[in-house]
Amino acid sequence: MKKIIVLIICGVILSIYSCDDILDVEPVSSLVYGSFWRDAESAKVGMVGLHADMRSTHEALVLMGEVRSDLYGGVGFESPSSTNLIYQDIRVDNAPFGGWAGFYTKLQRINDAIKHIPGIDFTSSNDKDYLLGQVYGMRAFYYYTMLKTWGGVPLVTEPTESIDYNTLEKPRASEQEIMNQIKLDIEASLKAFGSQANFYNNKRTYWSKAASLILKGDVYIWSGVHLGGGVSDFQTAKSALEEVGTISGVNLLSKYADVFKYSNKNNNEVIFAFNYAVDDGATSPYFLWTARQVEISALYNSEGTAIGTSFQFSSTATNRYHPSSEALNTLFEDPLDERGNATWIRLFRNPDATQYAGAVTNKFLGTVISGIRQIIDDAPLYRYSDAILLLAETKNLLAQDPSPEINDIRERAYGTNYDASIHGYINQTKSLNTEAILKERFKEFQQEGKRWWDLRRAGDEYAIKQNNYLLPGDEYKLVLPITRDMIGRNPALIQTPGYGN
Amino acid sequence: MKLTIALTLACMFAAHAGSYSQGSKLNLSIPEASIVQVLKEIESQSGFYFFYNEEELKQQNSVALNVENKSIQQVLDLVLQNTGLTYRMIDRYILISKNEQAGQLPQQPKTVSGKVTDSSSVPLPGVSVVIKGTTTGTITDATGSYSLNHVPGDATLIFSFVGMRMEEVVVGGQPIISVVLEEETIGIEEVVAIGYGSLEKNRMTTSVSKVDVKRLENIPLSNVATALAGAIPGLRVQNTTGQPGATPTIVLRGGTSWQGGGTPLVLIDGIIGSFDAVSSQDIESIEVLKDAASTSIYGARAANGVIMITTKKGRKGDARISYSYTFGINEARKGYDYLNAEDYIRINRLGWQDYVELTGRTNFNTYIVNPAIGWTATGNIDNSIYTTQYLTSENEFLLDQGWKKMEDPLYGKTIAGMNFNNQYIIFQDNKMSELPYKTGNVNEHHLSVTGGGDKATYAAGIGYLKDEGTIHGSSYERLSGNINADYRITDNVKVSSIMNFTSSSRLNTYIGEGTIAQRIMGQPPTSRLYNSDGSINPGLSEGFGNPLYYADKFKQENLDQRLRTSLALEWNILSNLKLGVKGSYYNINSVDEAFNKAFMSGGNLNVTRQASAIYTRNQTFTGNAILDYFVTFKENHSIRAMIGSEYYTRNYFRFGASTKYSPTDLIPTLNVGSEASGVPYSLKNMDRMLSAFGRLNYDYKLKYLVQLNFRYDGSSKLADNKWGFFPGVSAGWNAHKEVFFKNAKLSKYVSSLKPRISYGVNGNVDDLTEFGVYGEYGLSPIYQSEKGYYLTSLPTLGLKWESSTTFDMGVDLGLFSDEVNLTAEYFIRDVKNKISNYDLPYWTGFSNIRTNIGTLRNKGFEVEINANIINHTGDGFKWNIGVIAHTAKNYVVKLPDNGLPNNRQGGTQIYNPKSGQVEWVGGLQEGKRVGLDLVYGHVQETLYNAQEQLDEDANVYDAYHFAENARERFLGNVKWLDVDKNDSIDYRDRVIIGRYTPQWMGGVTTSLSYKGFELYVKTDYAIGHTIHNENRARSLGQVQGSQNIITEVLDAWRPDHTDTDVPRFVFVDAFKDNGVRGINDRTNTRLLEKADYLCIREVTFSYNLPQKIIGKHLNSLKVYTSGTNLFYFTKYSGFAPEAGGTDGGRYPLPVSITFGVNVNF
Repeated sequence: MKKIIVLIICGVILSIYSCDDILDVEPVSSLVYGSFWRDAESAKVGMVGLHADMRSTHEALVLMGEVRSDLYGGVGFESPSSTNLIYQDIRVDNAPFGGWAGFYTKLQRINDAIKHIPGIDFTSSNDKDYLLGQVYGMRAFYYYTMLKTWGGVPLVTEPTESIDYNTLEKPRASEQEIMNQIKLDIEASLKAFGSQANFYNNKRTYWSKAASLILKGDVYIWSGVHLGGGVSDFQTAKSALEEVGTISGVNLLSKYADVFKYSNKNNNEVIFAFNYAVDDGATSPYFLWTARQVEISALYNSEGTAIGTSFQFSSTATNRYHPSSEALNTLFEDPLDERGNATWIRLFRNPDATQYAGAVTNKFLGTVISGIRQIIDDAPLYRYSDAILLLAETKNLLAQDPSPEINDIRERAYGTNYDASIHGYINQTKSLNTEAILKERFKEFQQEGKRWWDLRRAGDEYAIKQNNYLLPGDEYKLVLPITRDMIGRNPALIQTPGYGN
Repeated sequence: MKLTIALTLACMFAAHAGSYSQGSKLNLSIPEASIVQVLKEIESQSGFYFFYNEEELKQQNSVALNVENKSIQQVLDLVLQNTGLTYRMIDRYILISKNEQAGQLPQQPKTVSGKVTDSSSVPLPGVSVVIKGTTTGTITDATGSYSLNHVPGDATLIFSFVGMRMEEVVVGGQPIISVVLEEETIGIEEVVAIGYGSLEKNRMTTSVSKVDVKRLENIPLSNVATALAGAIPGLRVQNTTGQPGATPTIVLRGGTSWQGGGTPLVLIDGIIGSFDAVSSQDIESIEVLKDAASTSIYGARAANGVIMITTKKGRKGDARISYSYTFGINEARKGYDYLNAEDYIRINRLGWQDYVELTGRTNFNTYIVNPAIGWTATGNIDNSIYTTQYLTSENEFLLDQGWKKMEDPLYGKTIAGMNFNNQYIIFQDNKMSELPYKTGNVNEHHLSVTGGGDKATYAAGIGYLKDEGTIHGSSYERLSGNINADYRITDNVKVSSIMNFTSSSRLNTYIGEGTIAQRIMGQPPTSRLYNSDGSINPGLSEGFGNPLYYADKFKQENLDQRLRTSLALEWNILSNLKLGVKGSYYNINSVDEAFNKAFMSGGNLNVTRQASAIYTRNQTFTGNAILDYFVTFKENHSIRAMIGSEYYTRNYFRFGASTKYSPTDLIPTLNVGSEASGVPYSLKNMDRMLSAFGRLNYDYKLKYLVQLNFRYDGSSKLADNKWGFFPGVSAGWNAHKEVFFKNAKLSKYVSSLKPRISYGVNGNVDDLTEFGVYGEYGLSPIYQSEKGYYLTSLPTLGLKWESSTTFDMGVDLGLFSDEVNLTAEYFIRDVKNKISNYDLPYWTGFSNIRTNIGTLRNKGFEVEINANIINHTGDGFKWNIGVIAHTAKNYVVKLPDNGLPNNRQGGTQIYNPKSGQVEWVGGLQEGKRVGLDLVYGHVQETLYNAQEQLDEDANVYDAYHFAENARERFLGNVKWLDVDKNDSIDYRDRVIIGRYTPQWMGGVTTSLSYKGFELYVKTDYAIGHTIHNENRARSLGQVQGSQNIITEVLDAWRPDHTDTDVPRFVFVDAFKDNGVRGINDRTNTRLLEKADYLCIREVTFSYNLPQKIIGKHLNSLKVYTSGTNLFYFTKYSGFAPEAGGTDGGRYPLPVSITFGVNVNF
């Protein structure tokens, strides 16, 4: 009997050691690290993920690129959001976009793709090159946005694969170093795209060669203005922007409002847009540019028509961004310019439309599905008219005549009412041209996240001059401070100059 | 693997079946053992029960026995020869006593008879009744009755029964003496479950607390764990919601996470389970294992302690049927008082005027004409949301219909270019804050049967409970069934099976609990409840709407079905060697259904009619094999050994789908949805564990006790370091058994003294997801109709077991013949290689990573005192008081080196006036207390009451004001404490106020009983912590623009009311005076409230009807009435102080009054 007992005890204990493989369980419903970048199929799935990821920055892009400008601060129906940006109340205490607005999470995933895609076998090398063109272009876009927002930022081009606690501190790279990386990535992107100027799956909601080209134009103007690149950078920008116009299937639509129509997604003017659809797990920020039905039902539109329940806004619709009077005055200064009503629906307290109460977006009004308005327009990040007006900027900077480009835009804006003798622009001095281009862009791109960058590209003096809440001496506010949390996690970071600590 | 071995062996040795009766034959082979052990061995082999005075038997020499095929009488004759002992048999009960014929003969011998019952009036058969000082006695029969002849008039009867407290009653000439034996809660024979076995309490060396389950019987409990509040030293039980059925937050000894969390492992009959859907009436005992020496037998899963629930098992004897019914009413607890409509309109309109005039901002002008604001008097017409209107000749008639009238406080003014020409405002005054609440009923039925014979015993129970909550929508319904049966196949093989099934259905509040307690209660009193046609006006939207309209629009139901079943085989290989093999299966099927009817939202009819159904299945299987051995050698050395192994596997499956655009409100299921909403999905997950464990108990003369145990665990959740070894060691000393102790004078007062000490290790991987260590690619949202993947977490293959080592020192002290019992304990728990999130610099692309981060230390102290202040046996007059107090503090011992001072993680910077520096506080800092529960805020020094004060501070910059008004302030604004005196009110000026974690917690209970009546009062308390009352801050600040405000605002500063600390009311808290100061620091010390409380959790009054009233057909009848959550002694102004933390609006626990009856047949 004793032997049996000993046997049992030994068996029990030994069985543990021999059963290690029982504990090796394979996941069924998820993918683990190292199992993902397997083949061309997964690379494409990864590329879709990177685009969904980029879309999640949409609201931040609009806030950074436009809400900081003179475009907001008017009246509306609910308390305004982002008042610190609108009123230029920028301090370390309330530093916006903590954690670098989450951009490094996106960059990490891009870096992961850039590292792994080259090692994957594709049946067609064109497919691989296209994906590489996309990921390099997207990385350049992220760094460009960060450079414009914060100046120098930490430069990371490799995916983080493990954590070494001794090398976690990383200082900001200089603006020049970031700009160099952006330019390298743009070149890498264009080289990878090569002659593939088509849109992926014929959808302009994926990054493309055209997107990299317009980004290149944008970047080189900035580098010319802010980083001493001068004429040669303007020249580089100009040729890149000119190349955008040569891409087949990229042109201005004849009617401004058609560019934004829900039924007209993926039109020829769009170069790169974020896709939105019902139940896609993402929310377009433009619901903040609408209003609750009940708040506006007693109001009238500019035609004197009672609003009632005509918009069918859902309960999440809310009115948080209110166009400034400057924005509306400029946009509606000429009733023949179709862009005003295509951009905003102004609401009044009286049928005579003299008591302005607020405005909701018309550009991104989405569509009504089963009685509920869904804000699911695709939202352009770049469209062709942008390329045209950027081209006008380069020409002006190179002391050339920008009026043909300006007039292309005006002609389309006025539609059949266009009269070149009245509405046409005639080349003037460089600074007057700059003002004209700024104003044209102001009208053309409201709600599209452009105005603040336009002002800064024109020169920081414009950003100060155009904004009632910025005074000379506030130049340091053009670049944002970082939060104490960001420094706390990474003490090598130095606060943006001018903000103290 | 090991399971197979054990099963095979068990089958090979399965012996012939046999049964014992008085004529049965015994086979015994005992080398050398004490008589007590021999008797126990006979008990274990036969149906006989022995009764004896252990002290008498202990004086005897040990015996050796080797008999075959002998009758019980023959065996006993053999065993008791030359011992001076004799025996007497009554049915299966054998009384062993001294063979003395001598003794003083009684003066007036009489016959005494009576009945012995337990505390729930159940008759106790087999109780030994002996005349004190003699061996004359008898044993009660099956009905608990006895009769004893020739009892002297001055004699004392001793009633004793295993597991019951011995009772002595002076006869005093009474012919009938009936006694109630109390279960022995503290005493030498008490047996405590310790994990894979049990142990007599006097052999225990570790920290285990037992719940007084008798206290669970009288009140209906939709969740048993709610009754643990304040009942166990070291266990913090927070009821965070009044939703019936919800499990409270339970944390043992400060918790093993940095945040102070960590749920104890809950085992039901040894199977991993939870408190959900456990019927309190099926519970036999609840034990809490606290120190690592006791929990290390559960190894890796038990770092947060173990709560062991044992369900009722069968007892031999005639079937006993018991039925109880409880009925009660739940009333909502009253919350804040809100303004009436007139005050509401006046205060808001003047607050808006202040806003415009003081800030110079016009951005809220629109509010004065926006009909979506409750205090606006324009735009509100027939059927609008709010009733506020200027009085006109057209609407004057409304005043006859109960509308009220007031003068517009803005009348005659011109503000921001707007003229206020209308003198009067009319409005309805509705008590919106009461609308979300209802009165709910609670009903519980429970029927149980136990019984059994020599070979089989059983216990079966069936119960039903329905508990209606106090907020619309919420309710809980539970049906439970439990069958436990044991069957003795042969004399040394027994099978036991457990079958437990519960089905519970929970309906949630119609909209989020926080939303109800904050936004819905805060609906403007000027809201229109009904339109002119009598239909209900919905209000603004579901989150800001009329409960009369919305209460039935959203349905959320959870159906939860649990099956717990196990089959165990127990084989006594030898008289002192036992093999147990057990397989358990636990399956939870859970279905969550939700449906939105068509509803008005923001003025638009939402007809999405979203319907969703989610099915979840969680299956666990546990198989184990355990070998038990005990031996006594040289009489005084006793050893018990156990070794075992276990396999655990869990498979999780989830399936869900949603539809939209159902054509009708009438069908809530997906079958009528016209299209999918989102993508249907299913997913699977699994994890496994493999373990070996063992335990060794040794004692010498029951004086010196030592326990060693270990567990070796492997988990599939880890990659490179799957295995962990978790040992425990403990020792104790029963000092009162020492001769010198007995001789000491002190022993007059100190009846027992047991110091003990323990050290052990636990593991933990609770914080890991199944495959998280491998790094995961997660799904992106849908983009252009496709789903993408991206890296969401880094692989951390080197991650290892988090291990907690606990050092525990305790003492069990009995005073005055154990009428007063005290247990005190001090512990230090070091959680090493803590698995938690390590904050990374953002450039890494990850805001944190799971890692073995450092060492957390819990230090604490616990004390429990139980005192019988009055303990009369005759009339049953008893008064008992129990006090529990415990405390635990958490420290950061070690963190990974990150180059920062103290390797700090997180935290915030505050100026320290002592050092004159801005210093990091809170977060995690090596060598300091864990600072994640630290509460800090700006100090309201006073209110500005004079222009001179304002002038003095004219240069003070306030970082929380609008930039253009940063140096502007007005009378009635808060004067903030400028801690660093630098004329700038900013983050540096915050002051540490306290902590969210209480310093002391516990409970006080008392019971008073007399002749069948009992009054029982239970309280729990927590002191020394702070609550951030966000609900109050948001209301006083009117941050939502149109909400009703708590009446505290009536005390706000006004030029004619300056003796107050409530700042001037300015619309949307424009000067951030009510606390929204900074994005993450919404705190003004005035709104950080002391949360100290003592709650009268339960008061029960019960009465056991005497036998002469209930007659012969009933064994007992008890009636009782209880009140629960009756009253809080607290200064906290909100609803629920026990939930702690940040109070953004909560579903309060109801005040319940219940009545019940319990009948035993």
